[in-house]
Amino acid sequence: MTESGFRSAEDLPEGVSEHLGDLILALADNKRLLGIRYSDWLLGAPSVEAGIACSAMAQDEWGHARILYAMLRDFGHDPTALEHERGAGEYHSSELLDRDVASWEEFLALNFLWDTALSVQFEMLAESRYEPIHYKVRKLLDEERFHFDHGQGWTARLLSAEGGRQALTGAFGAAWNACLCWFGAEDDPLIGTLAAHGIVRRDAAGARARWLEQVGPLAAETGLAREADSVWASTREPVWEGYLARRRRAAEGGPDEDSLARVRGDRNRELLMD
Amino acid sequence: MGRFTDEELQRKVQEGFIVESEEDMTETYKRALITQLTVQGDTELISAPAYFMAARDAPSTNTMVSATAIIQDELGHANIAYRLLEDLGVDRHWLLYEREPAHFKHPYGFDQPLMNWAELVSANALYDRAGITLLGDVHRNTSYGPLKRGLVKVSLEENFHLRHGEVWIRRFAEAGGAAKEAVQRTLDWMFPMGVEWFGMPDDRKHHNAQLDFRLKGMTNDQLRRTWLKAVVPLCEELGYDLPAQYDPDTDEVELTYELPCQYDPEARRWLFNETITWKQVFQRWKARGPMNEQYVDSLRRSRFAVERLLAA
Amino acid sequence: MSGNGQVYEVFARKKRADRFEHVGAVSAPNEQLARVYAWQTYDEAKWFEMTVAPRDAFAAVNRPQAPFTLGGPSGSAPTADSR
Repeated sequence: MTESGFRSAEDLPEGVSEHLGDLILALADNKRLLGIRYSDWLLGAPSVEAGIACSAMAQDEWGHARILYAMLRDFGHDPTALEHERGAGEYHSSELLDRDVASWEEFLALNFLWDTALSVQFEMLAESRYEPIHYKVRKLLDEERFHFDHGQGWTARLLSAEGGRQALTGAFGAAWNACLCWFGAEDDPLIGTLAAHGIVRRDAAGARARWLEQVGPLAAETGLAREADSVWASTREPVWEGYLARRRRAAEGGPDEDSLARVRGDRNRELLMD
Repeated sequence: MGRFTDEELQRKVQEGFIVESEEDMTETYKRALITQLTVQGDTELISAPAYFMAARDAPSTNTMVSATAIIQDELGHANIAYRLLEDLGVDRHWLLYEREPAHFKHPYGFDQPLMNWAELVSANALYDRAGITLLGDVHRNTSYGPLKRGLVKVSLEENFHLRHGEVWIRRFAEAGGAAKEAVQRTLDWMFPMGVEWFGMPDDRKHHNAQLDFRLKGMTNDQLRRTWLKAVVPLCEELGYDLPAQYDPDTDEVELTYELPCQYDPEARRWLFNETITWKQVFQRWKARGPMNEQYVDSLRRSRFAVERLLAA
Repeated sequence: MSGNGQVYEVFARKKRADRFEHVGAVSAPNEQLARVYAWQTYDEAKWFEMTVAPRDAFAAVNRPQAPFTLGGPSGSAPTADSR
């Protein structure tokens, strides 16, 4: 890179800091909630081995969330308040994570499609001009490799049977639009600004293409992706209606009551002594 | 199988012989080993839903990470035991997914709900201490080679769980107030659960194949004593009350209530004045406690649905 | 489809120049999941290198049976009393 880096949020150009803070908060909240969703399956996964994987992935996600929340100090946030004091409407997490998912195929939509979508956004930050983040991205992506393998390995397994293929077609179909939107529309103010300043490596379309390259080959078997001239594309156009660019989600609202109590640690507040 | 008679094998293992293959075993040895591994695997497995019940509401991200790491270890340990059982010809699918919940062989303590973070860390301090006491003895003494190897990882990690529990009950003791009271309320029902963990007293057990075949080294009462001598002085130092007393002069622990006694799972209370027989205790264990079915079912949430998807 | 696929043996070493040690086994429906399960189950050390191999890839050299095969698929079938 020839452009110089930014050592802190203070150094960022006018208007960039707020957008980057929002993206980091969205990544942090998604990881905190995704960890909860993973942990919901550490008992009920189809094998004890898969349960162990869910448990390990949950811890990874929370570890990543912790790093990101700490980073938000640089953007004027108080990490303790972020962790314990926000209302549902202040979370910047996907609607896919608002409540526990009901089945293993829905779990795989989170594990394979959504977790990969988050990782692609981190790849985009790997050479970010905002230096505090690109130092952290490598280790995080190393851990995410196993999440991808888990999601892909299980998706391939279910796709090997017609019943599994049908179940995944439903579950992936339900999560697909949220993933497409995550990378942003062409005029997404947040991603657009960050790409223009070299904070993320590629623009919305570039990041989405990278994600499709990763999930496309298996998603194709559910009819959601197709390949033309070795480029993977979605068979569906993203639906942007209601999408909240700042909160990176399709609608108002937020985690349900139980999820909120868990992310904030409400039920054991008097025993909070970290 | 059949290279040795029971008497020959008993003599050999007492002299240090390590069993590595089926031809080294006798039927009696194999049966005793299967029973031991089933108890071990079930105990580790059922600790996972018990711990998760409290871990899902841990007070912070950090505490949620440490509790989830512990559950992950427990699942891994369960799998080590079930793997060994499978290698002995026991059907793992049946063990995990087909058995009646009441037929699992874990201690009664893991049929109880864990309601909050204080209960979880107390369980780490008491139950994981019990686990280390039992498995540490097996690790040192077992004549079964594959188990001895498998327990290297288990011992390492159970020590971490135990430390986790002890650090937290110390932290709550130092904090005092509501936090300390929450631990005290937990110990009130949990400590006698731990005393029962080690099973019937020695004078009730006529014959013990696990000792004869050197599948473990210590008797129930010896193990219980080891546990008491670790738990009681620590709790006394931290200012928690237990129905037991440690005498530093003799280095012995005396219970201040009569064993055996009855437990009321609804009220989560021990009826120390209600004298019962060991037979009645055994019946209570057999009938299982309040969370038994829910815990086992939680481990079967998606298994059958996924099997159906793969068969269709 | 009642099983978990096949058994993979797991080997690992802590640092360069160390020998591999056998650290355990996992059951997995395919190699990709076997690698994930091995890494996440046997996380008791910060391994420099870990590798997995299907159990049936091991051949006995001096003993009558290959290692890791006590009972199990090639050994005795489940018996009523082992339940």
